[in-house]
Amino acid sequence: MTNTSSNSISSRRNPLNSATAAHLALMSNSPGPTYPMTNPMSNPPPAMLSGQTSAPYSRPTITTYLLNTSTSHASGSSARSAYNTSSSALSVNTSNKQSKLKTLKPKLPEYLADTSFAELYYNSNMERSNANILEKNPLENLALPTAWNVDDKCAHLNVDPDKLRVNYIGSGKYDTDAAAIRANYPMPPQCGLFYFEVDIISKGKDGFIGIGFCSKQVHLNRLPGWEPDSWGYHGDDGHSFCCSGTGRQYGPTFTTGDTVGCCLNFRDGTAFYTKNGKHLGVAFRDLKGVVLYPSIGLRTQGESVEVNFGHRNFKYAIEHYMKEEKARLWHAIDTKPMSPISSPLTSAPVSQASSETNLTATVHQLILSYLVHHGYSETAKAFSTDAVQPTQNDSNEMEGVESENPFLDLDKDIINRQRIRDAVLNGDIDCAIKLTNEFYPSVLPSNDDIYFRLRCRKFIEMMGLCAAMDVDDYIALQSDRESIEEVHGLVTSIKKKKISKRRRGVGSGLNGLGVIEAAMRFGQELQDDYRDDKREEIKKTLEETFSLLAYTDPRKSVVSYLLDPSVSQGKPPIPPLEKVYRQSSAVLNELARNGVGSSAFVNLRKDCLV
Amino acid sequence: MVEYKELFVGTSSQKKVVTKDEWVKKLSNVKIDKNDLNKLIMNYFVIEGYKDAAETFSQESGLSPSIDVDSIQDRMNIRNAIQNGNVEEAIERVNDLNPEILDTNPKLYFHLQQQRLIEYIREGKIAEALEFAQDELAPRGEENPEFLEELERTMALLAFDDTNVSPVGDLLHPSQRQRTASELNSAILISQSQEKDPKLPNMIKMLVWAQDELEEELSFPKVNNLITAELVEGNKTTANSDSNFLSK
Repeated sequence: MTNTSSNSISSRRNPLNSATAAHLALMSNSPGPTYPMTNPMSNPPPAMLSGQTSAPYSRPTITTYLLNTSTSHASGSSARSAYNTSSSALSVNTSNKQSKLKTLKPKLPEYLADTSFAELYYNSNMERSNANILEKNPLENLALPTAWNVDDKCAHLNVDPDKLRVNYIGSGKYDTDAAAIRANYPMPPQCGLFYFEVDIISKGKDGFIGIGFCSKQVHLNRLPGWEPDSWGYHGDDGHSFCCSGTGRQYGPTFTTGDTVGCCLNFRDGTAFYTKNGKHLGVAFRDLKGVVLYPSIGLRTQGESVEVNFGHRNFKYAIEHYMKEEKARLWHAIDTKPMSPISSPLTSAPVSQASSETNLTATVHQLILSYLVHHGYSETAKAFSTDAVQPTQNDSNEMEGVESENPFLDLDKDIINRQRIRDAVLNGDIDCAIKLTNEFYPSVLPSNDDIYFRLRCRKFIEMMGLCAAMDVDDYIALQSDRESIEEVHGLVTSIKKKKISKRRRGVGSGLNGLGVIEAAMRFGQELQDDYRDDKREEIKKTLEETFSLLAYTDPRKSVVSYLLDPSVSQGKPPIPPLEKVYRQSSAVLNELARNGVGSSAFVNLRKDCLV
Repeated sequence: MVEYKELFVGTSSQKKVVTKDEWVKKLSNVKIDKNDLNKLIMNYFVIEGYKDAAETFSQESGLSPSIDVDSIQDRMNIRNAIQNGNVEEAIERVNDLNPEILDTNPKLYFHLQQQRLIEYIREGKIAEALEFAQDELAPRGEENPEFLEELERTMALLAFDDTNVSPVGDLLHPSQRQRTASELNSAILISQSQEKDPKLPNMIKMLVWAQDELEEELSFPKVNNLITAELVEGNKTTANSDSNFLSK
C-alpha cells in the first residue's frame, strides 16, 4: 500500500507541481469542459519527445494521465500525482520535464489497452489536438474517472489534495450524517469494463463504508446503494444495496487494511466486487441505461479511504478477467449462425454445417475477387485450384451439391473475364468483343455505349500503331482503362498492373500503308454509325477520338491522354474485401460511439488483422 | 461542470437514422492499407494450408509468408486426405509428423475415428462400420458422455436410406469433412506453436455480429451480401430483409 499522510505529500511538493498548478489554474478559466488531451503545446520540439524515452520508469506517462485528466476540476491548488508518495523520481528533472509531460497522450489503465476503446480514445485525442477544437464533441464522453470530484461531495467529507483519498469529518452519529462523493467523470460504457479499487485506510469508529456507483442526480448525504440509481457494498455488514435502504447478504465485511474492488461490466450490465484480489461474485444486474459515476460513502468518525482508478497496479487480476470476457464475446460471435444471405445460391435453413460452409465460401470469394481486382491473377488461379479441388471431389459423391457450388462458376468466370481483359490490354479489341459476346452475350447488346467505346478504343489502337510506325521503341500504346473497366465492371472489375506485348493483336499481317488504310476505313465506319447519335457522352467521345487525326503525332496532341496508360477515368471500383473492412471499421466505431459496451472487446486492428 | 448528455444510453424511443450519404462518408474515412489486406490473405493461405497460393502470392505481392512454406505441405496433405475421405492416411501422416498431437487430444482423436465411421457408412460398408464402432468408438463413448452422444448421432445414419431426409444427414455433407480437417489442422498448428485460426473469417463473423448489434441502436446502411459487400439502406432493412433478398 502506498499509504502516506497528506503532510508528507506537501513536503515533497516540487517545482513541477507548482508549475502544473499555475498552468491548471490558467486552464480552468477557459469556458466549457476541458479534455484530458487539451494540449497547448501541439508541436513539441523533437528533442523533448526523444528525451522522454529515457525518463525513469513509466511514471511521467502516468503522471500525465493524472495531470491532464484533472484539468477540468483544477481549483488552482493541486494536481499532484499519487506517485510522489512512493517515489521521488519525478523531482529529478523539473520544469523541463513538465513541458514534456504535457505532450504525451494520457495513458489508459492497463486492462483497457487492447480494447477498441483504447483506439477510439487515442484517436479522438489525436483528432482533438490536431484540430484544436474546443466545441462539444460526443467523444468527450470517452474520459474515464481518474479522481474524486471535490466539487461533487457532501460537506462532511474532506479530500486530500491528491483527490484520491477521502476522510470523514462529520459528527457521524446518525444515518443522516452519511457523506458520499462522486468521481470526476462517469464510466463510459464503451470501455467494456471499468474497474477501480478502494484501500480502506481506516475503518474509523464503526467502518460504515460504502463502495459503489450512482447517477449524477443521487443525493450525496446517503451511503451508496441507499437511493434510487445508486448501488453499493458496505463494509460493516458485507451487504449489497441496490437502490434501496435494505441490503442483502453479499460478501464478507471489510475493514482497515482491506482493498475492495468494484467492476462494472458493460457487456452484460452486471457489477461485481473483489476483496483483497478475490472475486466475490456478481452483486448487481440490469445496470444498463444509466450514466454511472464511481462513488464512495463514509458515515462514522475517522473513516478514511483511498481510491485507485488504475494509475497503479490493482490487487485483483482485472486484465485476466478482461481476457475472459473477451473470449466470452468472441465465442458468441463465433457461434452466431451466418445467415444464408452470404451465399444467394443456397436457400436452405441455417444449420451449423451450412453456416460454416457459407463462411468458407464467403471468405474464398472475397479473397478471389480481391486477388483478381489487384491483378494477382496467378495467385487467384492457384488458390481457386487449391480451394476448389477437394470440394469438387465431394460434389461428385454428393448428388445435387455440384450445382450449388459457387466456386465452379466463379472460377470459370474469373478465367473468362481474365481472357477478355487480356485481350483489351493487348489492344486486341476484336478478340475482346468476340469473347464478351461468347461468354456474356447480353452485355454488349444491352450496353451499346460500351460497345461504342470499345470500337473507339480500337480506332485509337490503330492510330497509335500508325504513329508508332516511325518510332521503333514506341511503347505508348497502352490501354484506355476506362473501356477496360467498363467491360469488366459489369461482372467484376479488374485492374491490371503489368501490360506487355500489346501490339501483336493489331499489327499482325499489315504493313505500314495497310495499317493506315485500315484505320481510316474503320474510322469511317465508326463515324457513319454514330454521327447521328444524340447522346452527349457519345458525341464528345467521338469528337475526341477523331481529333487524334488532326495531329501528325497523336502522342503530342491535346487528346494524347487517350493513349496514356496513366489516365484512369472514373473511380476504380473497390474490391468487396476492402468494402467489408471499411464496413467493419465503421460499424465498430458507431457501436462505440453509441455506447455499446461489448464493442470494447472487439479491436478490428488487433483481432482481425495480422 | 461538464454536463453529460445521455449519449451512451440507448434511447428506446426512436432509432436514429444514418443516411447512405453520411454512411458512405464514414466509410471513406476509414483508413486502410493494402498491405494489411495482403497480409490478411497470406495469413489465410498459410494457416489453411494453401501452399501453391501462398507461394504464388508471395511472388506476386512481394510479401513473404510468415512461415516456411514447405511446412504447409504436410498440413495440406493431411487436410486433403481427410477431405478425400481417407482418414486412415491422415492419421498416419499426423503420427509421422508428431505422435503427441493425437495422444494429447482425445477429442480430436475421437472426431477422426468418428469421421472414419462416417466414411464407412458413406461407402455402404455396414459390417465394417458396425465392427469399427464397437471396437474403436464405443469404449471411448463409455468414458465420455459427450462422445457417446456424438457416436449415437453418427450411428443414426444407418437408420435412414435417404440421407437427404435424415436428421443427421449433415454428417455426410462435405462440410463435416471440412470441419474435421480444420480441427486437425488447428491441432497441428498449435503443436508447431503457430496461430491456429486465420483472421479473415473472424472479420466476417465479427461484421455479421456487429451489424446486428448496431441495428438495435441505429438505422444504417448494412452489408447483407458479404460476397458483393453492397450497401443496403438502413430503413429498407427490416426483419424479413433476408428473404426479400433471396427472392430477387
